[in-house]
Amino acid sequence: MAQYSFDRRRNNGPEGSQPPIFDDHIISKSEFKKRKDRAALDIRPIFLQPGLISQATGSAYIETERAKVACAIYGPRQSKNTSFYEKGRLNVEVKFAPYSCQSRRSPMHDAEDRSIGMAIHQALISSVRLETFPKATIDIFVTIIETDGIESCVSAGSIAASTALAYAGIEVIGLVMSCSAAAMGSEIWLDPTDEESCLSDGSLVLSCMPALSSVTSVWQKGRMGPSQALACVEACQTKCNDIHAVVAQALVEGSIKRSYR
Amino acid sequence: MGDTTVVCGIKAEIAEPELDRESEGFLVPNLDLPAMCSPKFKPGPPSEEAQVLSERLNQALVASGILPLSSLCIHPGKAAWVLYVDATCINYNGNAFDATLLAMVAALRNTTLPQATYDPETHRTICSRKAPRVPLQLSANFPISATFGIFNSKHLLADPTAFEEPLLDTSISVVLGEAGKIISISQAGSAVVSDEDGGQRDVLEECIESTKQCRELLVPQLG
Repeated sequence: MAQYSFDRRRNNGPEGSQPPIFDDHIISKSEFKKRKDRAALDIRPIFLQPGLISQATGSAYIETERAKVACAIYGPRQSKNTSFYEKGRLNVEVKFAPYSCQSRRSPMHDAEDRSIGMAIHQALISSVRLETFPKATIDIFVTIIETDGIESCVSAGSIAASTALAYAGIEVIGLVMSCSAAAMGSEIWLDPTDEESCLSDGSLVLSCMPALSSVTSVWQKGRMGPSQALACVEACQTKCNDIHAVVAQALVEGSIKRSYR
Repeated sequence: MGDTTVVCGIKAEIAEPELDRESEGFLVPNLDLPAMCSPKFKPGPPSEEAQVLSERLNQALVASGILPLSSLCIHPGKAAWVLYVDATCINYNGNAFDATLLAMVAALRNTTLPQATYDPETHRTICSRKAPRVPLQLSANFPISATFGIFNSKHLLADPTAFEEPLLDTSISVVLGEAGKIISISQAGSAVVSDEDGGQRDVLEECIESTKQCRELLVPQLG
């Protein structure tokens, strides 16, 4: 933990501690000329289970190799503040588990989880029929158990949240799928891991509703040409169609399991 | 445990030991009950329940002496390991204490640390990537707990769920170590149960006895 924050509400460790330093931690860039374990346009296998959290209205757990995200939906429930809204509201809160990253995270909120929350909110907001629940709020709580790059947090979080919304029986106009891509020189690698996205020139996360063939959000950072960005969007969109089939299958299986309970 | 799901992760970091305990490391257990796991928790700082549970977990781990803190020392007075034992509740369906303690013990049992050396000249601690990692020197006296509740002064319930918890008059947690040694007992309320024929009896002994059986069943599962 870089900065020390004393909090009397938790068990505290010593004042200031550093993650261990290893004798060899320099990875040379030249090692990543070609992808080792999968093709450039392949994504990591997805494990998706809706209905993990029994207390929630809807929930989902998603795992893509190292990235593990759990998501719960509560609501629609009464909005906390009294001001009147004709439409419903969507509230996304993202939390990192302290052990989710390379070095330990402080249990407090920081800028990173807010920005991921914003990205997931952006991806989902246009798919939810907010006019069906005026004056109410849907709370989406996302806990990141293990990260593998910020891109996969956003994409896995969006997929999990959209699955959980559907499982909760909240009216949506379509399932939101999300896929990330990284520009590695002239190549495009889909679903980059943390190492790969650090080495890339730029990365892009596309969220779309494959059933309506419409894009809900594009989140791009780094450096890439317009034609390359469009190529990334194309590649992501194709992959989102495949992911859509996986999610639909998981939802069907989940609801069959629920009906037997 | 049932529907209660707890994930525990351990992060090791290096820090300077306390001045009065030069050759001891640190063990820092915390439980987080995020708003995700149950509708009764709100986002924000840890709830009262989370604070109480974290403190009880700390007490149980320290009292059992599961990990001699001296084994975490790298160089007396200069460097020692800090083990942050963080548990997150994914699904809260009552009795988070037993589930978390079990998760923490299991996580400690498969933790390995890299071999570290302190260089007095540069004041830096360097870990070796090549040398094999070493498991923690855990004692066999690891704590296992069982929680019981008494409903309506009549019924003794083991492992109460989230639905049962608010209805209980009494809640008893028994933490046992090796060979049934008692590490701690916490009891809120009276442990007297009245039978159907009007007789009254104290059930604390019964609770300890069934915790012993519980521990015998659980220990082989830890591997």
